[in-house]
Amino acid sequence: MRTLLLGVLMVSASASALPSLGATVRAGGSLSLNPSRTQLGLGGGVGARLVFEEHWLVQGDLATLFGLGVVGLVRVGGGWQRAGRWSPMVRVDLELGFGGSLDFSVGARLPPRGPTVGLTASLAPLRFVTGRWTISALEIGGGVGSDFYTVGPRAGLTLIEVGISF
Amino acid sequence: MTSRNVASDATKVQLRVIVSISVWLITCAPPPSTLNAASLEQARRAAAQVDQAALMRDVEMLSHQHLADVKFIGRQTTDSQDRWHNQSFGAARAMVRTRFAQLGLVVTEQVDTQAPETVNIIGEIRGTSLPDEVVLVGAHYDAFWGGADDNSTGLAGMLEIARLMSAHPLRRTVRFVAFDKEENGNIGSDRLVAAGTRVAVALILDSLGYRDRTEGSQQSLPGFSVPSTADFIAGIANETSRSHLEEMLDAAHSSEGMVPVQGIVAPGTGDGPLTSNLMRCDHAAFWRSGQIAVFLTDTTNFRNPNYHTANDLPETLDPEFFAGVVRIAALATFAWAER
Repeated sequence: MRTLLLGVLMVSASASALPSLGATVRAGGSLSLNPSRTQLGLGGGVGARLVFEEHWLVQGDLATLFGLGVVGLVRVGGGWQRAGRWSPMVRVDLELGFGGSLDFSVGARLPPRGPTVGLTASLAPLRFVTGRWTISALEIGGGVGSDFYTVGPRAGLTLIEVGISF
Repeated sequence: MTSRNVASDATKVQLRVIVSISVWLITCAPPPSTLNAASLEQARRAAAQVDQAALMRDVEMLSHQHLADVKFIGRQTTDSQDRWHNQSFGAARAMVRTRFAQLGLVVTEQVDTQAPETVNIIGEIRGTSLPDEVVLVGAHYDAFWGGADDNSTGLAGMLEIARLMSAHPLRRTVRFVAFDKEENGNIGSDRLVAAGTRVAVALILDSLGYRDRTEGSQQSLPGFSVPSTADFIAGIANETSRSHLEEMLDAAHSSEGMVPVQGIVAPGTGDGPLTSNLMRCDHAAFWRSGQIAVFLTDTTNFRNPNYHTANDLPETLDPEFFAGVVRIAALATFAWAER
């Protein structure tokens, strides 16, 4: 962990600019379809991000989704963005979805209570930066998810995300 | 043992503890609930006595009585199509009442005279050591047309379990309830729960006898991960009732003569906009009041083309499948009442 922090600091120190911290607000949804668990919802949330050397970013966010009950979605990931006003982004996230789900027995067993976990890759083609503000629409993502019992596809959609750099 | 080995062992123990706690925190999973072996073995012996011929005789009798209840002119009834099931209950109600009495159950009625009037027929076998804890077995007795699958099968299954239990009182009280006006929106069960009924668990039986082994015979909804062949019985729970469904799945899977059970657990109370199809029977009132209830069904219109039509007749049912489902219901009822 110390090595990792040191590495991050060295990368930051070697860069001409300091990493910029920002906050985001987004609205969207998530769908996880395992043979033993369906979890989905639409809603919104808030997040924080760090941008390094204009192109690289790490981001984490929390969202509350409504659909099959209430789902708390935690995403942590990182990605690359194009510099400039039009700044499309690709990112990879680790996701945890807590709460409501529709569960199904597979064999004689139901999945264990608990969250779904997912690894997703997302693309934000309609993403623009102007001054301190970032706005992105229709981010789509897909990947693989699990409920610690079975594995299935996972998808995400961000309808709109607005960010500000401090 | 060297100090290095001791340190290494301590590290391993610490790691094991950390990993265990992490896994527990991530999954938040209590161990699956299981029934004790003694009560399960007794339940298996009782379930093995389910009489397939007797079940089908009761279905045929109930179906005949439903048809006799309704005033037909040709194939049309004297009531409007969307309301005529209001007429199809009197003879079935009388049959249940008589059967409960013949089996020696304590028979009562819950009558509610506000329109539409409902009469729930209740038969009870008092528990020997925990009489205040109630295991409820319920099935509705109103029907469309002959209502062979919906719900003469549920009612016949309930009567068969009552027959098996009447000779062997168990630790908990077992209360059998024939619900009125389920087809009008679960009115009978709503009123029973609203009157203050509290149960340890309710097992609701509705449409237990239709099977189709053709691939693609089972319909479903988006997001519902169920087999595409209609040869299973669905066991449906909400989050509160999950451990009882797990017990049923475990018991059915480890016993002989059962049919496959597809477990489905609705989130929360089950009363969400995307799970309304899981609330379409008498268990819904128990779920809404925070009580435990498991619902057994062949999924009706998602597999049975005769659902709510004049073709819902005894000859469309699969007696072997039906008896297998009732064995599961008997197994669970005995095990829950005796453990």
